[in-house]
Amino acid sequence: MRRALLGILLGSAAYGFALGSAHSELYALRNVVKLPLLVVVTTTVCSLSYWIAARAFRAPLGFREVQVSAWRLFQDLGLLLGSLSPAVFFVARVARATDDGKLGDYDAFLALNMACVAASGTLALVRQASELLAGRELSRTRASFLVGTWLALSLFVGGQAAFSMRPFFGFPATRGNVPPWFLGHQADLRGATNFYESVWQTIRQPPLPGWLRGTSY
Amino acid sequence: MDSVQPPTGPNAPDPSVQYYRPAPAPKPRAEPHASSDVDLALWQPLRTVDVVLATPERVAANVDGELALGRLAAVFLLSGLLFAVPYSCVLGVDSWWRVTTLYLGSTLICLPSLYVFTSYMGTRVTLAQIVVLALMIPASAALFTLGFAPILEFLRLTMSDASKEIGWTSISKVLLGIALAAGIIQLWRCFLGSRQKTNPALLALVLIVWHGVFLYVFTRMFRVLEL
Repeated sequence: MRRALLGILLGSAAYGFALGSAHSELYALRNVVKLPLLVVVTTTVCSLSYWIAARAFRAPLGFREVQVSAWRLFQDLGLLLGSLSPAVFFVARVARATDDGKLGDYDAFLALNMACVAASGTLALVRQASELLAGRELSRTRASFLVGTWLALSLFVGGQAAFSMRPFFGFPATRGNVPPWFLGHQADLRGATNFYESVWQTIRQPPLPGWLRGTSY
Repeated sequence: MDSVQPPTGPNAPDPSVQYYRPAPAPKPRAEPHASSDVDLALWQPLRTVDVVLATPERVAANVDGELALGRLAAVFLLSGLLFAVPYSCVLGVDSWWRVTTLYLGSTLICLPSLYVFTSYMGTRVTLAQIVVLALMIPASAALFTLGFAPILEFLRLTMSDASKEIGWTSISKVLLGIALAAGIIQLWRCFLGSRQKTNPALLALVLIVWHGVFLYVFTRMFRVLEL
């Protein structure tokens, strides 16, 4: 468990630093704390529901086994994200050097990072789950449903945790400001006050505020 | 009429070899829970979760053989009573009883109708069997709400009460719906695992119709409790 925690802290801290570099050193340094915190909060909040889901799918797993596996999963996630941090750092520095001082490449960078986190999370989950379920009396279909449920729970909670711990990399127009560590339920650019509203607004695409319109892309 | 001759020659199949695949052996019947196991589940929450969620086919064997049904009903009742309390407390400490009332109350209100209708249709299911089957809904739903309680508490802490579109109370409604669906699925897993019923198709039909009544009562109860 201690090793898992160390893996989570180092890997996600490196990734957080790279992420924040798109905005400023302030954001990069804060992310060294915020990214590991995000991962730890998500694991802790979901831990009980992971086990209930395992029992509902009749996976012969004890409470402790599921908890250890969940922490190993996030250790893997930390490792994978840590390995991506040089690439993300490079993209962040390029975006920062070439932005227009308004919105810059904010949306594209956000999409890239969401893809990185989603791909790493899915990979880590599938690997951990297949190790955990190997050799047990559980059909492949049921194991897949269980893994899918764990993934959905992690995304459901992790998304809201990430939303409340904003800003992770902000947009260029806010450079020079010193925002609070966590924006919590303060409305975002399009007026969303939580992760689920923000997903809904990504689908609906309401207009941005006037002072951010007219960007170069 | 020409009769079909078996193929002969060097490429003909060897008659001593069986080319058909034998029918798979029937799945062995699940063992019913022993009374001592069920007693243990009354005191140990981890065992309670196993009995309620992880072994519907064994509960079905108990229902078929009418074994330890009183104890099973007690475990399910206790699960439905206690495991929903944490979720209720997230909604408000003074609302600690609401989610329990929602699931258990709706089931108990509809229980007489299920028993009378199944008896009236001649399915020969005893009251104890019906009680155990029906109580699977609140017991399983309550366990799911136990898993959702930390998530809802986290959402309540991080989301604004004044959200215009999607608030934590709306998400709570969805989670309660998921827990109810899980309870109904668990009831059907147990029902389909049971083998010694008279007229199972008729019982299934009564159950389906009863679900309509139950869901209507459930939604009314949901509104009354202001969840």
